[in-house]
Amino acid sequence: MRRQRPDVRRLYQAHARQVWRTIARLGVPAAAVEDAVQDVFLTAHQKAADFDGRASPSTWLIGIAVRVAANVRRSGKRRALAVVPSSSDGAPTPHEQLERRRDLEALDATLSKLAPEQREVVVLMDLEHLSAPEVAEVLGVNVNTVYSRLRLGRAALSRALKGEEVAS
Amino acid sequence: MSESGELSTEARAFIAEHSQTGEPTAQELARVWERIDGATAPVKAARRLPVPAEWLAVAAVLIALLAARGVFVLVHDQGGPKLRVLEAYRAGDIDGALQRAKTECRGDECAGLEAKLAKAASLSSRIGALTPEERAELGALDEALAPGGTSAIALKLRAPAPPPVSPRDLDGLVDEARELIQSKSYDAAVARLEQCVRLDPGHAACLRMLGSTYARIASRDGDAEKMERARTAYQRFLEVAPPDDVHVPKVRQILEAAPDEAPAPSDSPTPFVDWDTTGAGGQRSGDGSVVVVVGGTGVVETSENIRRVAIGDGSVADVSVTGPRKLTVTGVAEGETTLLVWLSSGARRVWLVQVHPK
Repeated sequence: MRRQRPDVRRLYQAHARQVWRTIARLGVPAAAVEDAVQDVFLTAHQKAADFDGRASPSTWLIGIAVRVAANVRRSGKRRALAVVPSSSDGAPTPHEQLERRRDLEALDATLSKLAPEQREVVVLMDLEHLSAPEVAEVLGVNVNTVYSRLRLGRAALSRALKGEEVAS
Repeated sequence: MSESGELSTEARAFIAEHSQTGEPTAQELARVWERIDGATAPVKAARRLPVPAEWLAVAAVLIALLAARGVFVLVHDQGGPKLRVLEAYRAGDIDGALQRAKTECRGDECAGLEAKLAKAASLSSRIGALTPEERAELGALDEALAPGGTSAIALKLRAPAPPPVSPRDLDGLVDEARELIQSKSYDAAVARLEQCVRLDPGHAACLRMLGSTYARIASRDGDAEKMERARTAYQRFLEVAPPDDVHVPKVRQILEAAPDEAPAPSDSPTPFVDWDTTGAGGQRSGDGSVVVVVGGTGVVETSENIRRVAIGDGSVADVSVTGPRKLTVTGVAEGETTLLVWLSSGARRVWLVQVHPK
């Protein structure tokens, strides 16, 4: 039976929030998150024919998101394209925007002390609640490696929260 | 086997605190979708039109000529809407046939067709679990819709009846699903529970767990369709569960409390999820900590209205907002986790939740 191509609109409706959170938590600067999310779904649209259905659409998209986030971090993109909303309907208040920005900075300040591969596993498993086999699929590594990175990442997170030096 | 190391108390609190961090607003999502839609629209248009525009112009002229000679009309009428509906049914696309019957087939020739297709669709969706009377009814409907026994349904009806399902098979699926839920492999758990419901559409425990697991996935992914499946499974559970089933009041409470539209995760981090309580009462042991037994519930009250809640480890305890200033904590498995509550003033409160064995 021929597998149906994932439709980008449906994918966006179902998974945009998770992709957004993942991108934001993987060290992509706040001003570049929108662009990165857009990149993820455009990539999914372009590669829809390659989706073989072995993984769930959610796992497939998170795999793309992890790669896009890594590219953004590597290239040090700081494209400040955040658009000021034209309407205030439903928009967060300035206070809420500040609070969200501070929350994200606090999260990033701690997670940035972890090695990137440990951060990816901690974010995907402890914050996004993916299973170890799903994370293995996303990162293209075996499950033992996932557990090993998770163990090291959790230990590094604990040390970072206690204010200790984290060796990466 | 897990060699992942345990989260320290600080790490658990940190993760609970940031369970919603990075969440986009609806406006941000809409803004990015506009950009994606704008960027993909030309590609989609190109896919829909894989031939040069000049060819299309020639084709349009030819069609106009054919229509002028009456050929187009003749071809269009030859099939007829009823025939197209029945062809879809014969090929096994019952939902497609039903849709066509509703939208295309309006004349006298189609009278009663929609009702027959709806009944056939309903029966064939659980063809492996039909009673002998229901199989006979489906056979009669099939003969009326596709005489000669050549339809996909007729082939399925002629296939040997599946072996009876033993309760042990179902128990095995429930056990596997429970383990998968505990290890947070919700998608795999859903596969087991869907299989269980296919084998026994009236299995109350499977339906309840299916509702709970879909709700977890919906909450995790912000997936409205999964939330709808959760609702359907819970509603089906209420239809089949015996009145004295201990879970019935809780499931009813969930369905009454949940809004019609599936909530976004940011609005309600653990909505609708896992009410595997046995009614054992929880105990609040003073400010800062809540003690419950596995399967029991405890109530937490706050001094101000609650804005947002998060639980550190959903496999240890679940939390739901049961009033403007009231939370109910349900013990899931032995252990400790952190409950964070954001109040309307912006203040944040933290409770340590301890779940003890029964």
